[in-house]
Amino acid sequence: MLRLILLVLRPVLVWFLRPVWAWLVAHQEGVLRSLVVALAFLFPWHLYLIANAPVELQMGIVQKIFYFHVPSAYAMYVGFTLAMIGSVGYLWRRTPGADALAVGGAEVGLLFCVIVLITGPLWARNAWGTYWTWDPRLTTTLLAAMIYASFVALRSIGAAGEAEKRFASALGVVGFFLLPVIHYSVQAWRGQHPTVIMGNGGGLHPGMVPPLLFGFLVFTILAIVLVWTRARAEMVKHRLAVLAETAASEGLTEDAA
Amino acid sequence: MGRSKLLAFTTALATNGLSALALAQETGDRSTSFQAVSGSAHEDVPGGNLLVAAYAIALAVLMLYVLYLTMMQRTAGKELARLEAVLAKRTNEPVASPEKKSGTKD
Repeated sequence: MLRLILLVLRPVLVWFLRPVWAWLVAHQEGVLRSLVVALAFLFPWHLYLIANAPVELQMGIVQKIFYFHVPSAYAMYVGFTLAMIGSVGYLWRRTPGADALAVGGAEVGLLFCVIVLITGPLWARNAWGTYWTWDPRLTTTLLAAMIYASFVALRSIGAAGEAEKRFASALGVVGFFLLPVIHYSVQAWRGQHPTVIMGNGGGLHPGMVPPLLFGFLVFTILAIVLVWTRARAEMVKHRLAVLAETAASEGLTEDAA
Repeated sequence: MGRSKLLAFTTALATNGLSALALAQETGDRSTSFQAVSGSAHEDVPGGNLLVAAYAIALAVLMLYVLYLTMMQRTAGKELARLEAVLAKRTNEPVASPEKKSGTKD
């Protein structure tokens, strides 16, 4: 069955994704610059929308944390998913590009996870009367943060060797399986965490929808820009290491080392 | 001496008695026990302050990461410049003759 799916997906990947990827690689400087310029306009606009969003009846103004707490969680999903793709790619092919994607995704995912874990308790302080409770969603999110913090710590200790890279990639794959657990934990274990975004439209006031959707757009672009930039930096580090090794092997050891 | 001792004792007793009386009167206004609430405790923390703090912290965390990326790129740039300098130095050096390389002087 899996072989059949791969057989069907292969032409799609080859004929559609490869030219798109080639174009992105060829124009990455321009694309990244355009995204950064777009973010410079989109961030203040998002802030304006948050300021003008209606105040929630029960919780008051503190509920507006929702407009960057939830998009941060979404950006965390994006980061961790990219980390998983990079990790699988590295375990499969051992390419430096896949490794760079895994590092970028894990770091950026962890960054947004930290934002989620800071903004959530500040909101909870007013809404629930306590900063922290061992709610299923909070607990599973903390667990994901710990897994990806291990990934980042493992890759940050000096020059990571092949074994460290492979172990970190395994963490990147294992950590990904927590994402559906985080997402469905509220329904499965009946936590306190609110679930206002649902398939049937949810319980959001119409005035609250635009800042939330805009937040998703802004934070997705931000996550992509950060992962891309971090992955590029990792590639540069890799190329420098190769260059230094080549220089050393060609008799420049004392200068290049 | 006996009278002064009696006076001091009476004064001390009166002072303590009055203090005790004052304390006894005040206990009517203050709580005399601590009770645990059932469930989460609700206090009025200004929501606006929490909102501003949350946004400021999120922004600060993002800025710190951008700073970290900038520093990483700067370090990579320095390393690249160092390697380029090494290569340039080696390229400009005259090629050593086999005699010089082997260490023979004549």
